[in-house]
Amino acid sequence: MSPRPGTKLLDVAGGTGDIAFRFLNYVRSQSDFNSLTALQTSTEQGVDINEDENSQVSGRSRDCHVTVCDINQSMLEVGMNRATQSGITSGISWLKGNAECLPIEDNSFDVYTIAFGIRNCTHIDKVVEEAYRVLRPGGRFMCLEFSHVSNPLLRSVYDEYSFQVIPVLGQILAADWDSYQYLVESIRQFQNQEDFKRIIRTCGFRAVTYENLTFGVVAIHSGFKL
Amino acid sequence: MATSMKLLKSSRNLFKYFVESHMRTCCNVRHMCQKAESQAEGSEAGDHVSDGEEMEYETRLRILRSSMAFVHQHGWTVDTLAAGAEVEGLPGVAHGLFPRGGVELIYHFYTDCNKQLAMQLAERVAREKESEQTNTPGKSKITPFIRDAVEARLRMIIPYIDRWPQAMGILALPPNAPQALKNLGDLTDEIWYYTGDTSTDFNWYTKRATLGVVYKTTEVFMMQDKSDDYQNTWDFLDRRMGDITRVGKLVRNGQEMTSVLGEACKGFTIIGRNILGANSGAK
Repeated sequence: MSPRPGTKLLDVAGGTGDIAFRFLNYVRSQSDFNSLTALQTSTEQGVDINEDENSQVSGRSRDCHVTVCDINQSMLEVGMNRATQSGITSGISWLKGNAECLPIEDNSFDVYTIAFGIRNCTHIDKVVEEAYRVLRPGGRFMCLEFSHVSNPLLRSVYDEYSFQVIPVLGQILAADWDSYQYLVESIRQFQNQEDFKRIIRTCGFRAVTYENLTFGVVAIHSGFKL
Repeated sequence: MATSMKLLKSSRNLFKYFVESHMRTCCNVRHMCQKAESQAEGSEAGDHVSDGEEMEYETRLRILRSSMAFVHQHGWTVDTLAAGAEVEGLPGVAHGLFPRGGVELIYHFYTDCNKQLAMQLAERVAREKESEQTNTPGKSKITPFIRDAVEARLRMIIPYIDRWPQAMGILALPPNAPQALKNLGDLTDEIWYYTGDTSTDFNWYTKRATLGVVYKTTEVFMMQDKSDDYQNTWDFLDRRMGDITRVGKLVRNGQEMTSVLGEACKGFTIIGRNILGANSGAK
């Protein structure tokens, strides 16, 4: 994404928030590097919608703000605790809401990210439409999600691992077979890269692209509201 | 011996045929594309381009144009694109529309200058046709024409010359070099096209290659030139054009010499065979 000073990236990386904090360090180091050059002041806000867990990023540089939104209050509380522990106190706010019907005004954010959350939503097209609504013209929608592996050999290996190993590990390590069975099944029922790209386009986004990570196990979809 | 000569001749003809057809394709494709582009720009909405794509294209163009004002401040970087986006009322993250970053701004500037040069050359050719009685310019007019074209094109860089060395460095990077080379090729092809060049042999390539070298070396020279109105650069350019003329003459002399030598060799071979009696049919 190559964030500019003043840009907020909200990354909800499946719970630990390591990426979020690493990114925060990156933005801060960028700010330090650019602190001598005068840049335009602009307020940018990022919206993060996550159904599993959330963490937050706060930009130290001028007028950054992050709004973290989640349907689950206890997840929001976990995020708040982690923020306090990390010493991040400003530039962030917490909002309880449903991704399919956001309690946010139109055209109010610059970046909308959703990581590993959209496949859990009931109506994916509604979520993307809401994203379109709350973004400013020129704003960017970014979605990190599990996706489909196209290579048949790798896919068979991945399927075996997913259905035979992951639920077992879930039972052993977390005493929760069902959640991990659900996880694997939800990945399979989610659209593949091209179909999801089509959905994003239908909702009005332009310059829609996707980038595969690990042969398609995970994909980052990106679109702009133009 | 006769068959081997025939084989050589036919392979040479085959090679010539392939070279000519490649050049014809290159030329035709480029000029057809240019015509199509100018027609599309004239029309209100392209029939074959969807509204969404047009919107995307126009937004990108707007950002690129606005970004040019920030080149002095940030160079040819993503920062410049972000600043340009903000001027257009879009958030800075819209620089993501240019996945390759600052180099896309350089390409935009380069191709824009090429287009402007093409228009200027077309106007000049039209003016010269009206004022002159003859249809085709004499050979002696080609060198000054090319020299003026190169000078005009280099002058377009002057407004951004403080950041142009950075641009040249970025264009030299391996991921960007192929496109940069293509842009240079288009530029030289443009200039030669307007001189009325109709060569259909290997000269097509050598002409463009030598002009590319002249342009590039003059551009590099210009980067360190501190003289008034870059007069040293234009003198350098004159000297390079003179070099080419001299080298061209040398090559032509060399070719003549080769053909003379070839004839001489054939003659000696026939003499040798006569001496050995191989030519006499009567036994």
